[in-house]
Amino acid sequence: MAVASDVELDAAFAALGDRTRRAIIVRLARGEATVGELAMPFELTHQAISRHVGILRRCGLIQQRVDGQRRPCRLNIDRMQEVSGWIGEQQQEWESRLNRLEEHLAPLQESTARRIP
Amino acid sequence: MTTSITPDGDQLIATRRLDADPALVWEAFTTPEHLAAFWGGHHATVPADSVAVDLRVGGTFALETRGADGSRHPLRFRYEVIDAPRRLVLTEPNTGITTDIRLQPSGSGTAVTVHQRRLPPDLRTEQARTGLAGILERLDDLVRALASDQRSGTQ
Repeated sequence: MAVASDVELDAAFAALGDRTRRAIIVRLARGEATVGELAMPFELTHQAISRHVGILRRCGLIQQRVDGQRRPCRLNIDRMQEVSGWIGEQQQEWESRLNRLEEHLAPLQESTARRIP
Repeated sequence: MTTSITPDGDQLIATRRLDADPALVWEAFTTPEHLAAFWGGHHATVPADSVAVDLRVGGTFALETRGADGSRHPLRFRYEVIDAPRRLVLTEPNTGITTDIRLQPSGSGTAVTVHQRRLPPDLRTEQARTGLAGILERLDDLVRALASDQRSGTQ
């Protein structure tokens, strides 16, 4: 699967800001489910759940396949990993940046220290 | 890598003790010549003439990184908090990422702490922010559990 752009990742983060959509994700972690099955534990209409599913599908967090009359949803593990992997990327980038900063400052700090008797 | 998220959704990205006093570290984070020397880390270079620093709240910090493959990435940040030589907060309008850099005296050196928060516009409420902290941790757990399910063939 193509790597998510920043816009897509932002959409995924925004989608996860909603309690119902998080509950849908947690439910799908147990296995595939249709919109009707997803609607059951919630006091929401089929239509409302359908709208949440649409948002999750458009940002790539879930996928929906066709199986006769059924349209079961399932998690897109790749996209979920990208969302949770973002932190790791930022950590690596900053580790590398602070390493360079450390190297860059070492001679400067020495010369400052020499100036002060 | 362990995640550590504060209740308002800030993610601890890095901590480092530098053998340089806070005034020098502050200078490094706020002057173009220094920024060009280290911002790209070990993977990218930053041409000195690409760095622009307008050090005031609302001012812009811009630069361009060049990857080893020649790829160019212009970056643009807005200064949100400027508290010399203690704290610098930057937002990146393109990605919605807020970066909070704190400097604290540590012996003869400086402890640098970097936190980040990624908040799309409709997540910038207190409630959503609190929710985000939990989401990221649960996602991590979930992804790990699913990956191990797939390995054991139960999927």
